[in-house]
Formats: sequence, structure tokens, C-alpha cells
Amino acid sequence: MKCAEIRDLILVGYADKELGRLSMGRIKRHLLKCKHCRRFEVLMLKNVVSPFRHADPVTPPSGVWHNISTIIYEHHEKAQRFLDNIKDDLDSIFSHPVAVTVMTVALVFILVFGVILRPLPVEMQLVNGYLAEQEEFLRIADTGKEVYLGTATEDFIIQGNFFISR
Amino acid sequence: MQKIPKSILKGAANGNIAAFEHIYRIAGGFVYSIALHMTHNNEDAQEVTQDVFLKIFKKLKGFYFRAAFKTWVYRMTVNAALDICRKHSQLSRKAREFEKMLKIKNLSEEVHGIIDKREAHEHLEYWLDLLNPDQRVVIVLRDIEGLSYKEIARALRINRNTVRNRLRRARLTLYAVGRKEVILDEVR
Repeated sequence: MKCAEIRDLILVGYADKELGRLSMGRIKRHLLKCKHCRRFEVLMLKNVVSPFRHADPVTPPSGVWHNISTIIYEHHEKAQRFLDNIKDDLDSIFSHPVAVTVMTVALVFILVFGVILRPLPVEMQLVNGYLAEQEEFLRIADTGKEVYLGTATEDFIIQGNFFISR
Repeated sequence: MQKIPKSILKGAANGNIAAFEHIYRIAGGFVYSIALHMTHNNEDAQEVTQDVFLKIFKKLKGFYFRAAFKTWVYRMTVNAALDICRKHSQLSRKAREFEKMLKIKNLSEEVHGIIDKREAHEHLEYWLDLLNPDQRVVIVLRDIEGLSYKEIARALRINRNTVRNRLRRARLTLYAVGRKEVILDEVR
């Protein structure tokens, strides 16, 4: 390996022990015989790597946890207060028997007329009517008799000068 | 970052503040350290730490343990820190340039001096300030926090070759500046 390649590997890989055993061995052997690369290694480790690796560990000031926990507690309290208010409101409503009766009747009314007895929409009624007509038409057509039932399909054929011939 | 037991994560996800505090005690230092080294500002770092932990508390229930908790926290922290960096870079570029000029002058004067912790931290900031945010985050994760290339790639959602390239460029920049300082020192 050339010196430039060795120095490149010293910069990244060798200094962090992130090279394979073979490459590490090659670099070490090269360093034994090349004083320029050895100087590069020493300067690199001394000026570039070592100051960071030996940096004093830092710890956050105690006030940081105090702030975090205060915000969390405040948030909890706010959420709890909101739930408590809803609970109080519901309690005050349900403490009056008249209000409970009125709400129960209203709920039953909504259930019966809004969900169970709800009339079909107009489109659904039209589709249902059309399907019933078709069913009747096919039932009679099956018997082989010429009968006019007044269905929309028959009207369409008659208006278009189509004739059913047997 | 130390591994956090699943029972603690589940407890926190169910709103248990004591369990959440346990998570904070384990991951807080890491989050704050990345934020501080990325933003170079104590208040910003505190803001990032606070935001990240509030997000964790809010989203922990939906986390479902699909990804590793560690990677999830790394990603959130880096994104929050990068957001602050981008927000501030436009505002304070000129001020920082001025500060950098002053620091370069000071640094070459005191290379051999005994430097206390605060000065060491300032030097670190000075070095990191020479890099763009993408390079800076890779150096912080690799050399300060000790993450592997694989972990960095996962946290930043980039491939391992991109991690290597960013690390290479960052180290070359730092090496070039460091060499310049040594040469200056040797000339004196």
C-alpha cells in the first residue's frame, strides 16, 4: 500500500479500530518502517482525535429535569382538570330526575325514528320499484303469453317501434 | 449510553414519572452533551434537552419498541440540535467569525500553557466550530460519545460510507488547522 492510502485509512478506520485484522496488521507494519506516516499518525491522534476523546463528560444542570417534570405535571393536571370538569357537568345534569327522564325519552325517540323507522331514500325506492316491475315482467314472459303490463321496459320497446313477434 | 430495561420504558410509556426520571438519569447526559457540543451554548443545550425529553415522554407510547430506544434518542437529539444550529447559524455567523479570529490569535499564544477545564472546553468548541454541522455531528457522536460507524449511520439515517466520508473531511480539516498551529509554534 502507498503512503497516501495508509494515511487515508489512519484518518478513518484505523483510528477508530473499525478495520479488519488484516488491514490493521498491514498499517502497523507500514508504520514500523515509514517515519512520515508515523508522524502523521502521532499528529492525527494528538491533535484531532485525543482532545475529543478525553473531553470531560458534561451533565445537564439540575434545573433541566425540574423544568421537564414541571411541564409534564402541568400537562397532566390540565388533562385531569378537563376530565374532571366534564365529569362534574355530567354529574350535575344527571342529578336532576326530570333531566334524566327528558334525555332518556329523547334518546329513545332518536333511536326509533332516526335509525329503526327511517324511511328509505327516494333513489332506493325507485330502484326497488324498478326491480319489482322487472321481476313481474320476467315471470309472465316465462309463460309465453302476450300480455301488456305497462312496465317501463315495454313502453320503451313500443315507443321505439319494436314489436315482439312469436 | 447505558442500556435501559424494557420494564422501565414500559412504565414511562404508561405515564409513570419515576420511570421516566430513571430514563432521564441514564440518557440526559448524552442528550445534553451532544446538544452542548453542537450548539456551543448552554441555554440552547438545555432547550434541546428539554424538548427531546418532552418528545420522548409524549411519543413513548407509540414507540412500540420497533427500533432501538438508543437509536431513536440519538436521532431525535441530533435533529433537534441541528435545527438549533441552522436557526442560529444565519443570525450569528458574523459574530462567530469575529470570535474565531480572536480565538485563533489566543490559541497560538498558549499552546504550551497549562490549560484548565474551562479553557479545554473552549478549545474543543473552537475546533468544532471549524466544521460544518454535518461534520460536527459525526465527530461528536464518534469521538466524544464513542458511537460506532454503524450506530452513527443508523442515528443519522445515512449509509456507513457517508459516515466515513464526513469523518474523513472533518478530521482532515482539524488536522490541517492543528498542523498550522504546530508549524506556527515551531517558527516561534
